[in-house]
Amino acid sequence: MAKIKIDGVALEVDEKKNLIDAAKDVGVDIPYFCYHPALTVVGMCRMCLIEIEGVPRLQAACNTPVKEGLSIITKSARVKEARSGTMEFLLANHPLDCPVCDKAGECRLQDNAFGSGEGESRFEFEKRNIPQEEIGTNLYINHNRCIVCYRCVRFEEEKVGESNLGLFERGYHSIIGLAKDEPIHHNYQGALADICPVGALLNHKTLFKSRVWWYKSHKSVCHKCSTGCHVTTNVRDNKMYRYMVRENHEKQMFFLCDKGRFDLDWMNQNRLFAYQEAGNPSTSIEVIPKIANSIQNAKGIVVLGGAHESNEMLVRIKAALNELSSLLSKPILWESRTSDSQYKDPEQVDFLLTTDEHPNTKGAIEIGALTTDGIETIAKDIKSGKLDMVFVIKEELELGSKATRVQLDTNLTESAKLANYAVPLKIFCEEAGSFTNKKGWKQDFEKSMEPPKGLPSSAEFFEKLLIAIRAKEELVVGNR
Amino acid sequence: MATVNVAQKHQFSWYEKFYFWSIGKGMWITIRHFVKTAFFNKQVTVEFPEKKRQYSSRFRGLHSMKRDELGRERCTACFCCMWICPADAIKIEASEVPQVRQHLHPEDKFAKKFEINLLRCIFCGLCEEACPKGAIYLDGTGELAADNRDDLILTKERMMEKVGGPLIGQRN
Repeated sequence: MAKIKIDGVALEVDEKKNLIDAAKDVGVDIPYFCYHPALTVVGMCRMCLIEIEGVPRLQAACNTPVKEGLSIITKSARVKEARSGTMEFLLANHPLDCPVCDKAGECRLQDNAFGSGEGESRFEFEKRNIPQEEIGTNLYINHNRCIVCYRCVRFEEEKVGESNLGLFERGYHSIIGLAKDEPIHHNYQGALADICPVGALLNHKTLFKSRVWWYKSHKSVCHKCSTGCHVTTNVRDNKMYRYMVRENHEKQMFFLCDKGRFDLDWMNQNRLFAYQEAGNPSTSIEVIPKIANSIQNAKGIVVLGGAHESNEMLVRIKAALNELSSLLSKPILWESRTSDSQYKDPEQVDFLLTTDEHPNTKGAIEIGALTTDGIETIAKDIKSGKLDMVFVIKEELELGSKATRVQLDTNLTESAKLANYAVPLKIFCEEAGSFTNKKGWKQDFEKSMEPPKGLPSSAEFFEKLLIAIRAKEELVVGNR
Repeated sequence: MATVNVAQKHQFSWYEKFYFWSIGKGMWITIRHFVKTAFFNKQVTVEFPEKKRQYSSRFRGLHSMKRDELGRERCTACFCCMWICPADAIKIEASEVPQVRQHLHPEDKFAKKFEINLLRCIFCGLCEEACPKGAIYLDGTGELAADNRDDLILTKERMMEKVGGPLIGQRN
């Protein structure tokens, strides 16, 4: 910790952080565009100008190291004039098409124009107009809106490791453009649009779908891989519209990959709403007694999957399964590792995405949802008929048709159609819980959507099954 | 303190039982109107639908969408009206402006679908107030009867006027 003075007030700030972040921690906001906590400092936008005592000219806050005894002034008339001048220059060529722009509402240019701008423009000439271009498989660039902050270029070079974008021409003619002939097709096009402080970079996939202020936001964790990036869910009319980054300075989480960011359609479409019997919609009253019947007559029972469920759900599933096995006096195997990548330490595909597509493999292993032999032996046993009752929790597996298969799934997948019985499930974000990521961090997420009425979670299904079997036994006892 | 006995019913005398005074008062109003309309041509009603009354300039009736001086659509599908609508009557689907329609839209976003459900609309005029482009005005008629529900869903084609319109925030 270092003692510095901001606007004459002595404060203690973290000296490892950038001055902008350190000041934000103690409640002093310095406006900025080009600065990003995870990227190198370039000081291109000149928005974060401050006065430093003992230095005659204004300095960029992002480029000033925090050191003991530093004294800065962020609110003097000189600083304000400089900032409003910067804003006026940035807005000189900005089209001000906020009603059309998808960034409106979360745009840094809007915020800073409100906070530091004059509110009036003295620019009388024709604004420059460059047609927008398609620069990626899922990315647009609108040159008119660009303020040349260089964030996208730095992000690509430093984080993704590809240099597709570059800054061309100089001064008034500066333009961000493709450096190569082919369009961008890496996994971070959503992140590029996200770090753009204005609406210059936009994704096809979310273009003109909604407006920012319509979303209800909740803290959540990305479901796509074992990295478990922190996200904010944006829900409107109980439909998941997008994931946004929830910045975490301690855990260094500032970005999201496209695989996680855009894999949301399954939450809104093709949901499994009813219990199914051999591909035909049925009801729980009909299906659960039948499943109870076959579980009582089964020779060997196995539950596969569970790495998609939250830790809280896994505890409940485990309790229900333990009780089931003691009630039936049969062992129930539970294997949560259904793919090869879950048996090894997760490998990175790129700097965020891992090969393991399950958000909670570690949590499932910690709770003991594993067998000594692994999935290969179980698959063999199912094919030979040794295990003839299989519960699959939200996994797509080829198991052959010998065993009675109960597919617990959120969506109407091929497996749900082919299985003997299918049970509809809630999505993870329809209930609060936590995932344990590859590093063993237990990360909580909030409930962000309302589940369709009457749908059980996977644990609730096993509890219902337990009640059904108990009721049956009581019936037998009563008739005696 | 003076007391009024309300328990006792008022006893009408014989002349009170004819109600001359009250009937006369009512008849006087009727006769007055009769004389006004029959001899002085001062009737209050009009022969609708042959004759129609002039609406006030502030009257809020059927919605219309405006174009600018060059005949381009003013609406850019910013969703402000849909957001402000207290009755949830407006449905908009935005889309990118394709090359063939570029001469019709000054911006790069347009309303592919713009529907107003008149069964839901309460004609409060908030959409008109919220519109940043002056694209929607409630300056149409007040006669909205239809014999099926589909006719009461206003589409963009039905609302779109040819050229011109009031300035942003103004009404004719």
